[in-house]
Amino acid sequence: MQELVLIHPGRTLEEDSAGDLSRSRLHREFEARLTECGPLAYRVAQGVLRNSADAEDVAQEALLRAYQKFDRLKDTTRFRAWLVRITFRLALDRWRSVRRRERRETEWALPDLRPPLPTTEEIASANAFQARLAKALDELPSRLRLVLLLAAIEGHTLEEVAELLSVPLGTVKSRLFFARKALAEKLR
Amino acid sequence: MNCKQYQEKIVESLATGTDCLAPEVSAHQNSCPICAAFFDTQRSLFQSIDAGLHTFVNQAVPPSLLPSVRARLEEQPGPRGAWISGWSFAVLAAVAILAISVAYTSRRQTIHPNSAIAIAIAPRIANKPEPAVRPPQELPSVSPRPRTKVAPPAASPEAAPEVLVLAEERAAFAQFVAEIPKERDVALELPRPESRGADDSIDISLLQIDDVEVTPLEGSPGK
Repeated sequence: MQELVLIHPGRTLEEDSAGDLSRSRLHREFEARLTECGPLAYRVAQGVLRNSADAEDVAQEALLRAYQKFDRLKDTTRFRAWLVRITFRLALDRWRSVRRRERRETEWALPDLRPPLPTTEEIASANAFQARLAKALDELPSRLRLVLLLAAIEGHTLEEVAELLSVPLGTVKSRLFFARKALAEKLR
Repeated sequence: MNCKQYQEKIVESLATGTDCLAPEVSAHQNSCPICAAFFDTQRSLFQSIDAGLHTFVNQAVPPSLLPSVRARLEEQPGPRGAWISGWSFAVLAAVAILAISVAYTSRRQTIHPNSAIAIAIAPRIANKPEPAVRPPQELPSVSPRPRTKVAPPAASPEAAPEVLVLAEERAAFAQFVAEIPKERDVALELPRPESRGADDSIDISLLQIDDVEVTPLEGSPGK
C-alpha cells in the first residue's frame, strides 16, 4: 500500500523536517518557560484587574501571544520581561473596557437600582480601604503602577524589577517612591 | 524647619520604603507629639498600602491556568505558523481590494458599447478597405440546419475585440465612411454621446419567419 505524504510545493522534505524540528524545539522551549512564567503573567494581570476570572483570561491570552511570536524573540533570556510587557498591556486594555462597560451600565441604571452609598462603618472597614486603594492605584500612571505591582509580587527584588522593565535600578527606586507617595496622598 | 516641613520629610522617608528617619527629623519627632502622631499614622497608612498591594498581586494562581493554556497551544499553528501579523493581513486585504476595483473599472471602460464597436471596426476600415459589393458566390448560403456551432477565433495579444457584423452591413458602413466628407453634419453627430434615455424606447421583437423555403444550390447532389 502506498503511503501518501503531504508536502508544500517548492519545499523539500529536508526543509519540511527541519522546520518541524525547529518548531518542536521552540515548542519545548516555550513549554519550559510556561510553567515558570505563567504565574507571573497571572499576577501582573490580577494586580491590574483585581478580578481572578478576568486575570486568568488575560494571562492566557498573553501567554498565547507570546507563544505565537516566540520565534521573533532574539534574546530568550528576556522572555520574562517580554511577557510582563505583553500581559500588562493586555490587562490595561481589558481594564479600560471594563471601566467603560461599568460606566455605561451605571449611567443607564435606574436610581433605585444603584448600590447605596457606603456608610461610615463600611468606609472604616478593611474592604473599603481595599476599594479605595484599588481606585487610587487605577488613577496612577501606568509606568508607576507597573513598578508598584512588580515590586509587590512575592520574591521580586528591586534588581529583578529593574531587569524586567529594562531600566536602571535608580529609575525603579524613583518610580516606586513617586508611586507610593501619590497613593498615600490619595488615601490620606 | 516648621512642623509641616518635618511632616513632608517623614512622608518622603516612608515613601522610600524605610522607617528610618533622618537624625534631624527623628529628633524633632521625639520632641513634638503632633509630628510623632503624624509619623505613626503615616507609617500605618504605608503599611496598609503595602499589605493591600501584596494582597492584590499574590493571590493563588488558579490551577486551571496552565492546563487551559496548554490546551489552547495545541490548537495553535505554532510559532512559525503565525507568520501573517495583523498589519500584514490588513495590507494584503487593502492591495486585494485595490486590484479588484482597478480591474472592475478598466473592464467597465472596455465594454462600453460605443467604444467597443468603434475600436473593432475602425482599424479594419482604415487598413483593409472592403469592396462595396461582394461577389454572389461569397455570400453566406442559407443552411438547412438552424444552428451551427462556430468556434470563436483565437485571441491574439494585439487583436482588437471581434464583433460579428453581416457582410452587407460592413459593406454599407465602408461606403458610408467613404462618403463622410460629403455628409459633414452626420459625421459631426457621430462622436457625440448618445442620450441616456434613447435605448429605453427601443422595442426589439423576435424575428418572425412564417415560411422558409430551402432550395438546394445548383450543382449540388440533390438537384
